[in-house]
Amino acid sequence: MSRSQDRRFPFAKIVVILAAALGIGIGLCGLDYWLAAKGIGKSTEEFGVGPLDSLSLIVMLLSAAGLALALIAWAIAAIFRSLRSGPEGDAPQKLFDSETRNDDQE
Amino acid sequence: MIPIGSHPAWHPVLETLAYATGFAVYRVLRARKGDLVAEPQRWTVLAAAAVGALVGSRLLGVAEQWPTVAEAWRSGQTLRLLVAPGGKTIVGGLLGGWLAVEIVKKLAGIRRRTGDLFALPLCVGIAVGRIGCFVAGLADDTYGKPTRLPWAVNLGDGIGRNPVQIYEILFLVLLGIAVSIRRPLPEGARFRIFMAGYLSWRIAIDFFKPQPLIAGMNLIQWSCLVGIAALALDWTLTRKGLHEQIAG
Repeated sequence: MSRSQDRRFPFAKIVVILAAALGIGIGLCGLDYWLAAKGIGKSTEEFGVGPLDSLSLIVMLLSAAGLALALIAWAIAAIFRSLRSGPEGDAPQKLFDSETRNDDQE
Repeated sequence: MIPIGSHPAWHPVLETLAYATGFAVYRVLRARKGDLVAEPQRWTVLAAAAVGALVGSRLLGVAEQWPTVAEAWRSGQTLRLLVAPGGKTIVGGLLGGWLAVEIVKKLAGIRRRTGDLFALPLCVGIAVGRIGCFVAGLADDTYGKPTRLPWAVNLGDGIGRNPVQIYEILFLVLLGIAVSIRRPLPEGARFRIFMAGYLSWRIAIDFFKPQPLIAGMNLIQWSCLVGIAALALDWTLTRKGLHEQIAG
């Protein structure tokens, strides 16, 4: 992947989407209670098995795995970018894009 | 006593709506008021906030029910507890997100205060999410202690309870107005007003929730106290700079 390509690759957006998916997956237990109340599957007692536990587990595992992979890939891409650009004098190396707007641009 | 019942199926729906609404408000604010940082840096900050919030929310959410954790540990079911659905808390999300953003900003060399754009979206998102907590009733661990007040709610067990989630929604409306004040404020002040306000509120309102206590307060209240101490330290360290901005 070229430098311009990995700059364009939307790691941050992917991470945000996967984190939201994982958050929603963890919160699916509400539907679990509802289904159990309708007689579908077992009632969720403490950390027992509810009707939607397998679905929320799949959502949680897939999004968690995706999130971990995206974070690792992002870190590797950032390290490579940092190594390619090389140290600039005594200035600290930056792992991520760090252009902030100047005050006169606000 | 006002009959409400428990409708947990609405919780995930309103939680999803809370994320979407908060993000929509953030987009509108950013479009109207502009941003201190460029788009890629803003997404980096958002990603840090999302991951930090997720981790913090889950860790504190599980730890909050520490008697259950202790029981799971004794019976060798800790892993099962960790992957079980449910068990997140807003305070853990806020503190985890804030910490992660500060770490990533340090790594990325972002020196501007980036939290102001999140203050109002957080107020709106949490308020929408709290509607879900309220209608979820007894299935959610956020209900209030029994009370004989005329506006007590019956969540399905025949006991009148403090509608603590409704109190919180009303508080968030006020906090939302406070952080949206038009007067120019120093960079980062709106986010710090939000954090100080919300964490202080949680210390107070959680006394009305039946949670396991440690030395008189629950784990969320202790975490709020740590968060407020961090805010005070941050304010003390940057006070000189903030005063210069006000004067400027």
